[in-house]
Amino acid sequence: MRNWCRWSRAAWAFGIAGVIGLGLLACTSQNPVMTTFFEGVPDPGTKYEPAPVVKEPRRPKYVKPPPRVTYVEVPDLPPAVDWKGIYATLTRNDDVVSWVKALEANQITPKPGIAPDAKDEDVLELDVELDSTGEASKAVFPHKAHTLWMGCTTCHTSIFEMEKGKAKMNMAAMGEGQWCGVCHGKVASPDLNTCGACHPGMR
Amino acid sequence: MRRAATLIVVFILAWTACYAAEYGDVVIERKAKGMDDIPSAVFPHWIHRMQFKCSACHEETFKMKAGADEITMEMIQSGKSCGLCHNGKAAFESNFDTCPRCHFK
Repeated sequence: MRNWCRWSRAAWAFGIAGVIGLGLLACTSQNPVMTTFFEGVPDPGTKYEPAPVVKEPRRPKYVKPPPRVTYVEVPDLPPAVDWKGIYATLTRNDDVVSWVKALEANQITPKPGIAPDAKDEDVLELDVELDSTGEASKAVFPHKAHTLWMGCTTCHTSIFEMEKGKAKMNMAAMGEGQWCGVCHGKVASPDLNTCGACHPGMR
Repeated sequence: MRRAATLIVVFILAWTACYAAEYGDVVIERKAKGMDDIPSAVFPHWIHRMQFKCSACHEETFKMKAGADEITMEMIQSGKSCGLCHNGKAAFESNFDTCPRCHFK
């Protein structure tokens, strides 16, 4: 208790000494204290011209943000091709696509193989006249149209022997999926109902 | 994101619903038992032969006769059969997003 009193008294003495010191400083010619408080106040008789007050706008000015950069995903797949649209424009014969004509007209450019360095096989321009075995007139087999799409080994010798006349073909067997009917009538055009495509003598 | 996924699903459904059978389509008959609620896969010849000649797949990968080759999803996913191209690089991958591109009615 006594100790606390002593410190309190010392603080009072220090405070009073400070106030007296400040008063003495204010009376000096330099006036450091007065200039601190009254700086910028004009001398008596002169006009007071306050410096213009520049206020910060309360709300920052609206700056239009730059357009958002949309993240473009780079796909691994090649760009999508409108195959359906191209398919609709291919050359047709009675609603069935004439694939050989479409290929010759460069409407499509099918690749010869899955491998990127696959090469086209040579085109063989050899028309084989097939002798008539029944009522229908003789048929002509164009090698060119077939070698545009396939190689020799596709048909020879699993379907056809290399020698002409070995295959005893008839239309009924083809309709059941033999000989030419392996493809024609299933995927290849012309189908088996287009007589004139193979039999020049028929309509 | 969710809306985009829904749109894609709707688009795929619409695409498959709009698909008209074309000359040369091969319906690959299911030989495995069970899973009858999944429609059989359809192989559209027309879009493949627009991009490849016959000899690209016949007869090295597939025989000329429908049903003559064994095709399983395991084979496709391990890069055989259809999976030679349908691996996500040359053509779309076979995964749970692309089921209806082959399996549709």
